[in-house]
Amino acid sequence: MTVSLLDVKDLKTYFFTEDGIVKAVDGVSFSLERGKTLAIVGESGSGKSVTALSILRLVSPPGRIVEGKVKFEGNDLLKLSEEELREIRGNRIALIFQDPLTALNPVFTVGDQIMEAILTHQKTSKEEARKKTVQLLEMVGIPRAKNRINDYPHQFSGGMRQRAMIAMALSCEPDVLIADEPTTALDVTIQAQILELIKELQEKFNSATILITHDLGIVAELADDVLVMYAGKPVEYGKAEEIYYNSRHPYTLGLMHSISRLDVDKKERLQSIKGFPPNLIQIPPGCSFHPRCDFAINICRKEIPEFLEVESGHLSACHRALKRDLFVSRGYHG
Amino acid sequence: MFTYVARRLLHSIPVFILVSLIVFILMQYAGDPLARLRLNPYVTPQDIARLEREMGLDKPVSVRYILWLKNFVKGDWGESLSHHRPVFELIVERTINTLQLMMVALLFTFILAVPIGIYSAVRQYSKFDYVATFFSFLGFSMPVFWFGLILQMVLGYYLMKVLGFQLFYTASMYSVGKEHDIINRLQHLALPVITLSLAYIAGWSRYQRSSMLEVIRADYLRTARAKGLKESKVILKHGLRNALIPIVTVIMLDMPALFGGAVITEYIFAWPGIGRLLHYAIINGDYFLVMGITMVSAFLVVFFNLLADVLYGFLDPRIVYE
Amino acid sequence: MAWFPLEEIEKEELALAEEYTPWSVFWKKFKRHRLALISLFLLVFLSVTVVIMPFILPYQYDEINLKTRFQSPSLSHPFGTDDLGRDQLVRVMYGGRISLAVGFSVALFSTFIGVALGAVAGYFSGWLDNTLMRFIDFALTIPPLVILMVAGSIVAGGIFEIILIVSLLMWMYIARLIRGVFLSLKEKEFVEAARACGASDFRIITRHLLPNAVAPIIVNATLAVGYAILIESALSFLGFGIQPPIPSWGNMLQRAQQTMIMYPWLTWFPGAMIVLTVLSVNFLGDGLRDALEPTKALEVM
Repeated sequence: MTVSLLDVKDLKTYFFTEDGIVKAVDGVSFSLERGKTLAIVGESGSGKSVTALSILRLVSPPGRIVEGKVKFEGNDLLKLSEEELREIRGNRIALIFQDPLTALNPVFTVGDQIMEAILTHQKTSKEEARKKTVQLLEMVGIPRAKNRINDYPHQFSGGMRQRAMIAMALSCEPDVLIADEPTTALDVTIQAQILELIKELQEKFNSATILITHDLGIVAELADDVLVMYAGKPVEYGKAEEIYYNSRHPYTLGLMHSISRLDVDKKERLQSIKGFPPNLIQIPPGCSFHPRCDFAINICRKEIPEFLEVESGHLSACHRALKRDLFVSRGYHG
Repeated sequence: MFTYVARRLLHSIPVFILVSLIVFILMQYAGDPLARLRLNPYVTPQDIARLEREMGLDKPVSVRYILWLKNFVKGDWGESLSHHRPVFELIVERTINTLQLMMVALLFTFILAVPIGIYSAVRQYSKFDYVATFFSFLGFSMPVFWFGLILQMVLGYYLMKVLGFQLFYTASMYSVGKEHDIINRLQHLALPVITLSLAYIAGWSRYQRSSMLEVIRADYLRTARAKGLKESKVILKHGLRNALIPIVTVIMLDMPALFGGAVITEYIFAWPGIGRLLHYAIINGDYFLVMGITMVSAFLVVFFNLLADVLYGFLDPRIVYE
Repeated sequence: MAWFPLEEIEKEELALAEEYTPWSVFWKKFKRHRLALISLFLLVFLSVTVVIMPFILPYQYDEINLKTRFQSPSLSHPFGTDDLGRDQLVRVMYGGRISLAVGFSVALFSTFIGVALGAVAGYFSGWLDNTLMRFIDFALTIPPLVILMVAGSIVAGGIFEIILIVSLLMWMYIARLIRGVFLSLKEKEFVEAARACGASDFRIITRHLLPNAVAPIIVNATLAVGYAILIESALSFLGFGIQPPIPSWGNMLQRAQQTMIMYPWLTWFPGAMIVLTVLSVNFLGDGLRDALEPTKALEVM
């Protein structure tokens, strides 16, 4: 049996707050192979970002990983010492954060911050690191990179900052790149460029990517696999085409309805899911999605649905997942 | 930068004039420099009148103020009515003593407050944090003068009883004949420095804690961790650099108060500094002296405000002064 | 399709809303701050005690008895007596009346001035704001201790005048704070809405903006009580505040200083009262801040 590059099993990260325990990530599993892209999709508060941070054990108090395994090339990252983990952070697994303005340190130059990543993991001279930084910045498409490495983050535009962030993440040629909403803070034209860049670089380095987003439109372009999360729990997992054309979870359907698409008749109004994401301290009993679900029946309010395979490699946590017709009639192409 | 500084200083000139005017007028009602002589049965009304003429007290306030201002600008700050010495000379002499006290207190405070604040923030809600928080509240709530008296009583008197010799002195700057003895000076400095520092240790450590807490939650620290940096480097390089910017501003803005705030400390410990001089001057209606000290204090406020802004711009690359 | 009983949810929500009035939420949060709760009770207790005790005790604050000079604490004189044989308990209580009165009055008065000016400046901005801010900058340039001591020596112990002087040194801080709050609040939609409905400026300030600034006002007014007590006691200690024979914690300590080593209780009690009172005020302010300003949101994501 071959070992997956990254294999997450039953990950649970809870936040122990004054008001109670918040189960931000509650039993998430997935695996990832080299060259592939996994998209983790959900509304804000669904636990997708915390999942990303948990992989590198970057959750800060009151959050704590309470259970699970994060196997990277067979080694459980959750069992490594801090020192061993540092060897992996930024080197083998790198993160791109949502808002590059706050994710870059305002008092150090962009160049310094990228060089720091290189110097931490590679035995090179400062001069070498500087050269490599310039190359990286050129690679991600920053003009006059030689001069710009001496600029501070606030002197960069939003798109350029995100490019610099990507350059930093790629500086040690990581095996896994985790991109947490890499384009949310950017405007639409730049979004496309950044996504294109991530895709290109993934092919170049043959790395694996975890793309975290709330936008299923992005997922269609990049992802091989999709994991949909709701209220900290995985609700649907499978190949991207499966999720797209054969979704078996009402929440996924709802997310798809809320994408604005240019190719759809204008009369078809942009729909969003009714209601709000639940308060994570008081998750509704039974299926946590039932108050917002159009398909909900009695059992949904009493029993938590199991996360079961509905078709080969396609899992769904819905009591009614096996009623295929129900979903097709409501589905995206119905 | 230079034009910025020059403009700020120019703008403060009307402020100086207004401050001096207000204090000058108030001083006319505050005390009579000849009060003691008037009570003396051996001093005749003629003597008093002569003295008033000599001191210029017989002229109206407006005339006296203009005269004072003219001389002040020229560098003649007048002669102290109670010390019979030039005000400028007196102020310089006493300022040196105050600076000695202040600088040691500043250093002491900084060395204690900043690490306490950082450690409290890094270990938020730990026992250390709770204890530090409680003591800083106590520090805020402690009247400086009472704290000073208690130190004199406990560390000055009772400790001497226990040890059999004087470890800490409770008055003046040095023992007779030991003017240049550093150990002796430190023995005299210890209690006033602790007294003066208390409130600032409390204030700065709280401030450092909250700015560090803000930084700790910042995304860029997570980025630094995600890069694989050691936790110590994350905190001390990426965190501290950002968390020190606000405390530097606060320190600068507290400097004039530290300078002026030494009044109580100097009064209790008989430290011959500017604060004690001010206290004495006000009691004796010595308005030339009060004016001189007021102007120095007001200048310090303006100067350190400016220095705070300039330093801020220097430390935070996001700030640019045109 | 959605046959989920909506009415039931609504009923539940209504019940919840009733349970969580602003007051009950505030009290629930405030109770969590153990020290603030204790401080609140302590302050109430202190206030009541200093008012009542001078009536109950068999001594007057200025009752001189040279036969009982410098008595250490005993049953008949729990806080001892001073150099003139005056009972220290009654003096400490009487001084407490003055200190608390000065503290609360200054807090009220300076908050009133500060809120009024800060609100007007923040709401109207423009030249009014500029003028006020320049004035505040100027006022902060005057060395506060110089003004305090000079003005204190002019008024020679009048309680009302001392309240006035200390207030005049403290309103600037509150004004600046409230100005900032108003500056950001007036851009909010509900102000636009009120204006569109034809509400007058006065109405917008008092009915729409002020209620939203209540939290910082209350917190700062509370902390101002503590500051004022400290300033008054320091002023009295230096001889520029409340003048003997009227006792205040500050001037009692000035007198005690001379005989501190021989008769330490004269120093311990008034000082401990200051610390206890101001510490309680500060903890109370801290508790109010925690309960009123919901910055401690859930730290998730």
